[in-house]
Formats: sequence, structure tokens, C-alpha cells
Amino acid sequence: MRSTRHVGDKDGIAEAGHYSDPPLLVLASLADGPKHGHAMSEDIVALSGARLGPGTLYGAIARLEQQGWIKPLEPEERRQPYKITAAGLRVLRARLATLHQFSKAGLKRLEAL
Amino acid sequence: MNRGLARALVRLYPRRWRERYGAELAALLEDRPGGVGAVFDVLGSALGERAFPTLGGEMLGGNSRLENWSVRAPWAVFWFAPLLMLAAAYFVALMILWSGWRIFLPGSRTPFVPIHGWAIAYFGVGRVLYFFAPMLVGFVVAWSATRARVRPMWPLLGMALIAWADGMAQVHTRWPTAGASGRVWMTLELGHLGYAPELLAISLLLYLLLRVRQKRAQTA
Repeated sequence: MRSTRHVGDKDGIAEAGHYSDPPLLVLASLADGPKHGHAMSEDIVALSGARLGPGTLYGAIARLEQQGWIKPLEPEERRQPYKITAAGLRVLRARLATLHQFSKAGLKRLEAL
Repeated sequence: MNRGLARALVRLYPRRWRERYGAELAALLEDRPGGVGAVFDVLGSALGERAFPTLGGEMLGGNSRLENWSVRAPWAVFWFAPLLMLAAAYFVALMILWSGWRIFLPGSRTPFVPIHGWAIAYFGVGRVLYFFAPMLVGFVVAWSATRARVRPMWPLLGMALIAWADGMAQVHTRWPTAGASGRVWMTLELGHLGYAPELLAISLLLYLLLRVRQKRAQTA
């Protein structure tokens, strides 16, 4: 089960446009440096406008870690920072490239309207 | 979120998941304002983790209670327990049929007549239980076998047994007479197949899908 809540939606258009793929959002958030759960959650809001629920966020973190795409660093008190791995970076790059290609093609079709 | 609620929510996750991520999730929950949305999100995620656990890496270490029982007594987990579950469901369905006959159709010679009003809902519960319990039990067998990673022989025979029992089961009723009250009972007719092949096919399909999903998760 995944849950995302859009932050600051006024007219509904923003909600329709927000991106919600928890594992990809987590990978993208870790692309600019290690973060713990709370920092990731805030960064994802800034990045995509969607706030991942705590269960959804940790579901994605657990799966990404077991797949070897992120790895834990030394804990800071009760918080556990994570870092994206080389394999995670490759996956992120490939998925963003696909999305980029898809959005380019989609926007091109819209321009033609 | 209040610390007690955060800890209670974390306890909903499976033991292995909790040992690895419980403390961090509890810390995150305590740092955030607790709302109904967050509670439901964690509830859904914990249920999802129980139904489709995260596989691979550290999550493969250690055995769950289901896995231990599946190794010690697979016949009990995949044959005996499902048959017992099916028998219990049939018993409840027959009780509903018998009590509904007495409550809604006291003058009728059989409970298998057109019904109206509340009787539809009452008999409907029994009917749903009677028809869908074998499918549900088959799903439980498929799901448990995938989680416990046992040899396919055990769940396949278990699903075949459930399907066969479902095909053989026949419900009978006896009209109450002056000397004896009406009766509802079930017999197992060996040669009768009923919907057994269809039921077996559905359970097998689910088992295969779950196995494919598991293999993909392990190789990803």
C-alpha cells in the first residue's frame, strides 16, 4: 500500500501533476547526498510536491535496501541515514532517462494540439 | 506522534522487519505530527509487509514461525490445517442454513425455495461462505507455501485435497416430521467432482503468480 499527500494543492491541477513513485522518489532524494527518513520525507516534498506517508516511505526504503540500491550509514542517535549505491545510481539514471523521453514525447504531442 | 502510539504501530510489522527498521520508523513517527492519515498509512504498509514481505538481503535470515512449522510438519500446515479450516467454514454455513430455515421458512419442506427480505441477506452469508471458503482456503495454502518457501509438492497436494473435498461435499436436508425435527447435513460423495477442477486451477494460478513474484524479487 502506498500513500502520498500533495502539499499546497489549490486548484487540483497540481495534484494531477504530482509524481508519486515512492522508490524512485527515495532514490532521487538520495542522489544529492545521504539522508535519514525525516530529511528524505521533507526533501521529497520539496522535490515533487508529494508527502510520502511514514509507512510508504519505510516500505520503499526497506525494498531499496534489500535490492542493494541504497545502503545504511552509521546511525545518528535513533536516526539512520542512507546513501545511494552505484547500482542505485544506475537504476535512477535509467528510470529518469525513460521518464524524460516519455515526457518529451508527450509534451511534443501536446504542442501539436 | 505520541511515543506509545508510534510503538504500537511499529509492533504491527513482522518481527524480522521490525528488528531491522522498527527503531527508525518509530523515531520518524515520533518526529512527525501524528494524524489519521499517517496511522492508516502505517497500518496499510504493515499489512502489506505481512502479506508480501520484503525479500532478499537481510530479510532472508532467520525463520518465521510459519517456516519452522512448514519444515517440522508440512502435512499439518498444508493438508490438515486447510481441511480443518474448510470443515469449520462448512459447519458455519450449514448452521446458517439450518437456523435460517427455522427462522424464515418454518412451514417450508425445504430451505431451497425462493426467499425474500432479510432471509436473502441471512442465507446469502451462508451461501457466500459455502461457495467461497474453498477458494479462500486454497489462496491461504498458496500464500503460506510461497512465504515458507517449501517444496511445491506440499501446497499442490494441499490445494488438490481442498478442491477434491469441495467437489465431493453435498448438502442434504430432511423435512421435519412428527417424530423427528428437520435436519441439514453434509456428505462426501467420492465420485462427485463438482467445481473441483476450476477451483484447483484458480488456486494453482495464484500459487504460480506468487512464486514468479517471489523469484523476481529475489533476483532483482
